[in-house]
Amino acid sequence: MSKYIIKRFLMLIPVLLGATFFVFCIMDMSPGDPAVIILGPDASPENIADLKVELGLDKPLMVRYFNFIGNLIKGDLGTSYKNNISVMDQIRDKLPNTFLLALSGMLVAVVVGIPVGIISAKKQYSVFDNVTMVVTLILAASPAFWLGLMLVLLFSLNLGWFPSSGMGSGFGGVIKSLILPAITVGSNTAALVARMTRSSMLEVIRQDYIDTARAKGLKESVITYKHMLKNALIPIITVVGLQFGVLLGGSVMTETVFSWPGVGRFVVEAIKTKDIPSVLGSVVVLCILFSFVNLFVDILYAYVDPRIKSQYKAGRSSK
Amino acid sequence: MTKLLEVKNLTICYKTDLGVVNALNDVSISVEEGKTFGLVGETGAGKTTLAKGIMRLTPIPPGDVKSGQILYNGKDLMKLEEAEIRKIRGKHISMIFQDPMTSLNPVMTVGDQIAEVVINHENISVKDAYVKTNEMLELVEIPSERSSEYPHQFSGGMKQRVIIAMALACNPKLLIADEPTTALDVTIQAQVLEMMKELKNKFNTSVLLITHDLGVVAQNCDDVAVIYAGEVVESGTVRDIFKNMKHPYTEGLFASIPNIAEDVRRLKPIDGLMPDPTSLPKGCKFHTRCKYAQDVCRNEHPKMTLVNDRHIVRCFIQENLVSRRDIDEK
Repeated sequence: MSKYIIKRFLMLIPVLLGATFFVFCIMDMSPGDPAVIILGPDASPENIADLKVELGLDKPLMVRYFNFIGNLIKGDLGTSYKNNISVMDQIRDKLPNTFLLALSGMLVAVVVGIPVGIISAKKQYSVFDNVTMVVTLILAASPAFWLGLMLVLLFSLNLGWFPSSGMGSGFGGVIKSLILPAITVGSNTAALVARMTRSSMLEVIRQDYIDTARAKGLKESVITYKHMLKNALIPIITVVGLQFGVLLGGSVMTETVFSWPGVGRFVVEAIKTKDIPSVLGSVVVLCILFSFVNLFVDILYAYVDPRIKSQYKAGRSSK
Repeated sequence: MTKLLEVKNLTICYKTDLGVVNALNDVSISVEEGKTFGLVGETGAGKTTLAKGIMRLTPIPPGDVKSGQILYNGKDLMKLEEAEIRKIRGKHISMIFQDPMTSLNPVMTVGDQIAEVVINHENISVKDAYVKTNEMLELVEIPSERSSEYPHQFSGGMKQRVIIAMALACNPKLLIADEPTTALDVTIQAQVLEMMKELKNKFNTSVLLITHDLGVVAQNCDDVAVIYAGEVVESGTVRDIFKNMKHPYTEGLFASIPNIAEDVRRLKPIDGLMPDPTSLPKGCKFHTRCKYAQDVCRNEHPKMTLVNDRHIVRCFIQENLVSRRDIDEK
């Protein structure tokens, strides 16, 4: 098992190299010169040339990339072009907020999605099932910016229950300002989780071992949770894990709509101002986080399904 | 002999998009205490529907239990509440399913799965339940150290023995074995059947053995019923059925068994296929494949006729309305 985990950590190296190189090239190819953006359109060509040398932008792409990697190994993500603050420090400030939002969104998704999926599967083709399938389809299809705005319109502007943007202070304030963004990021995932739970449960429901469990005289609730859900859990964990990664890096829309001080909004700002070190730094951090979440999910599989555990032990894993 | 289980006029159908599947039509059988009752029939004859029906495990929908009584020790199981039937399942009547590969929960250890049924029915501590579990495993010749292993770590024959241990853990009065050896290879089949026989005698369990293998019936059963298209066509003691068969379908079944002593070039299968259960033929259900069939077979439904006090058959030949000679001369 530990051998497997070490192997997975080593796999992180090519992933990070690939992702950063990709972003590096895109940032280089996209129009707009960072030096011009920093100094403004009226700056003299000499000043711009000086700043380019200062920022190292006069060097060829590959040289810049290897400098970046060299610094990355030392744990230095560089400083922002915009305000000369260390990128690492800025991300460190914003990451907990993004984490909080992603976690609460996930909580909404799991608490709502799994029970709904179970009931839908157990009462297949019932009115409840049909209604939830339509509702989840709509939720899965509605983009975060639209849903966020609708929620703000209803609960902040009309009813005035929750703040429309920003992050409140104090525990109560944070919770209050967290509810709407959490629902926004969570509802999409909740819909996916509900649908995945339903189909995965339906696959398990007709298995022979469920008949065996019934023939033992067990209660239906015991059969549902102990025998069905545990067998149906692997695909659900996969969706939850992937979505958690997506929520970490991709709640850009939600963070923008609700002015949530997280990494997503930070990246958007950085891209707008061509703040290359900030963009790259965020990508590196999100990549590492995403990989960690995936690794955690893969380890979790082993605890849910003993067959996968013996595969890891035997080192036959294909990943 | 007292009747432990009596199924009377059980009719079960499944409602599907393609029509109503008449899986069981007016089936009556009875299992005597301490005896093994064999139920023989080909695929789709309704054997598993009967087994699940007795346990009240018919999936509803699409299943629909139209009529019938299931008397267990004189008590009608059909009238019991869900909570009461749960106390019967696993404790009084337990079941072994056809495919051991898929009948065990893959994410629970075999020990947990056996202990679960003990904890569910017996009023004993969890620790004692696991002691009992280990005893049961040893009884089916699986070392008790392996109780913490998962089903995928066992072979097919061992899995079936685990299932047998699970089914017998609460000392049930009746064991329903639905093709317990069909999915196993022949050497393992003999081993599993021998073990079932031993344990049956040890615990004085009655067995309803469902199979399509007449050899298995000859070796294990006291009484037999032959089922065709959801209907019992002949039943009696093993001797009655094997030595003095009356129904043309039973004859056909025996004729399809290859006989090593005779010099025959081809097997003699029964011509045709079992009728589509969504549209069963009028009259005798077997007339489409029966070489003795006459007009009366095509129009009237034969009744159960006594051959002797135990042996009954559903055929017009027995009612003396059709003669075998008609065809034999051709």
